[in-house]
Amino acid sequence: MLKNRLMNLCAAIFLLFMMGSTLVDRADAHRVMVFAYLEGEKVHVEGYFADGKKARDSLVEVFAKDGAKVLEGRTDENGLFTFPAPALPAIRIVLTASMGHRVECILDGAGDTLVPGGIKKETSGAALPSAEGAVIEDRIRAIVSEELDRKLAPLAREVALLRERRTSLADIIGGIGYIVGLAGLFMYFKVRGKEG
Amino acid sequence: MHISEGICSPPVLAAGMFLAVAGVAYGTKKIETENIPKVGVLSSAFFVVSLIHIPVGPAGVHLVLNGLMGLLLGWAAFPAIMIALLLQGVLFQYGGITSLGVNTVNMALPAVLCYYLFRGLVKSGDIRRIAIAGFACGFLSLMLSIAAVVLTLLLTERGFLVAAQVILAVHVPVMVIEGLITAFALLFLRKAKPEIIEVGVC
Repeated sequence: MLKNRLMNLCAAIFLLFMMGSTLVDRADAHRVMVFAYLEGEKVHVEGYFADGKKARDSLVEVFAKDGAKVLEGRTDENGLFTFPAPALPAIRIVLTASMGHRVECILDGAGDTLVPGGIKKETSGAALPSAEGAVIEDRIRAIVSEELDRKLAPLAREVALLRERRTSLADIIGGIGYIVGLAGLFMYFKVRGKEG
Repeated sequence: MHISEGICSPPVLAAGMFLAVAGVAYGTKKIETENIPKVGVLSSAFFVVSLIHIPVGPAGVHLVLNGLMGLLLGWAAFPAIMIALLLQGVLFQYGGITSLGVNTVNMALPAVLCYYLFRGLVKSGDIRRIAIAGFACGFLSLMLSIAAVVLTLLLTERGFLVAAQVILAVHVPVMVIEGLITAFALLFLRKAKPEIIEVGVC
């Protein structure tokens, strides 16, 4: 009798644990995510498993738009890999983590190359016609751009993180619904097949 | 556990898909009408259980429950696992669509193997035997699945320098947890719905 009670208790605790961990800890452990952002002339790449664990010592490969490999490296202790931005309009970053996890993302320079000023734009600074004026303007431009990059880097990181799609409860319930539906459909055809 | 898109070479993907389709066809054929709900329920369990994450090892691991599925479903584990993996791929971006076949085989084949190894012990109905079989089944099926994943990665000739022993050693705690959960689940079923483990093996 006592043994039965104990068994029931164990089973109940087990079921609660299962349900609790499903609903509370919805972090999907088995997916790797990568995001990249520019800071000045450097590209930062961060690899994460979706539960927030850093993807350490993972292979990072950087490709040009045409598929040519630009460079490769490995993430450090914090899942971070930094490299100088290549003078390309866009790069594709592929991260390969352990146990066959792989993910990629694209970093786009939005018309310009990733290195600021890689494509020379016509300066509209007509107010400073002299050569000296142009030099000063260039310096101001560089300082502002550097400052902006520094200030915006955390924001760029946040945006990159937010863009990641996370598993929602709706996904989970939807998936179970699909399985129930498929089982029902299968049953229907099986029974009909028997009758016919 | 879930191999992503673009990791395996096309021959490996094709072989995986071929084996998976064969397994699914055979498994589907063996499902009795009255067992369909059971297949559905276990497929759902497999679908959800991957979200329970255990912080071990470099990649973070999760329960698989393929041992339990093998014991309760036999060959029907193939269709149950494939459908759950497909939905995980579409909804959670786990694994991938092209690697669906490889992933199905890696998880379902050990399940079927464990079914043949341990069904005798489970059918006996003896509480101790069921507990032992459950633990061994959960442990072994996960171990074989991990070995299969490592093997698949080595097959792709992309110079994956994976130390197989290290990966297996890292996963030992998960295998133990998986074994315990499989054993508990079986003991619970023996008490609550004994017909599921006594008769219903497809």
